Amino acid sequence: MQKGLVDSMIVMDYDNAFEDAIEWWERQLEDGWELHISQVSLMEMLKGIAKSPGSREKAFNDFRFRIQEIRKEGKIRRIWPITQGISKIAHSLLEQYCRRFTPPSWCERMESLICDMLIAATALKHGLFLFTENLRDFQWIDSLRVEKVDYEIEGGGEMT
Amino acid sequence: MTTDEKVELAQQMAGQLVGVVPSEWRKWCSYASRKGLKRALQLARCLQHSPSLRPGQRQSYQSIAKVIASFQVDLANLSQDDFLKVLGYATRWLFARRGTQYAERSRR
Repeated sequence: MQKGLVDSMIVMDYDNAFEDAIEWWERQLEDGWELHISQVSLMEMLKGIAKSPGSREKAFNDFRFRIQEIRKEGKIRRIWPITQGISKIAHSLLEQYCRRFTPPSWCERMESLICDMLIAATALKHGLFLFTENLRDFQWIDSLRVEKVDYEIEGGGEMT
Repeated sequence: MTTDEKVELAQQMAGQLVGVVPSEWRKWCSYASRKGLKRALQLARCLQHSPSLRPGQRQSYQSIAKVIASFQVDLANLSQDDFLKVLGYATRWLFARRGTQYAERSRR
């Protein structure tokens, strides 16, 4: 059984009913992959959920319900928390990044970079393959096994 | 049933649907509007295991079958007109969350 960690954007696209993301996810499962996610991805998604129309409390409850459902159905094998070991690896990765590249000045991009490092650290710590839509964010990490998903979401807000 | 109650019911349904491909949801709604809830639910239950469908399509019907079944009593009590309205509102709610997270996509 091959084990992979799914990056936040893919989880977001699955939850937002993007056909390509759903097809990709379900195909991976059929191909025998065990898919995992990081708690960081769920935390990243909360910001978007909070902007949902209607009651915010209901939006959070619904989101929690949907995640529980896909866990129950085995579509997410495990949600990995941020542990001391993971935060140490993430810190080290961020340090390497700052040595090699100029960190982004845009606050939100820096926030994303920290999340990316926590996700990469989770994959490294648990020996997981990382699936992402943004290969460039991770491919500089030598020890990380990473692959770009074979689809691309154009636009994003349109109903198809 | 008032409009607010229909919207509320639709919102509850849409909030629980996960991994539903938009085109399959629309096909299912169209079938349900023509053949009724009971037959549409049977169809979803059948298609969720159909080997002739792609994995994403099967997931869509799996979620539809599960969620719609849990609201079957409420939906069965609606008039045809109200039933169609609820499905229409649910479609809007189902995809409304896309827009809110679009900003998050562009940020990454």
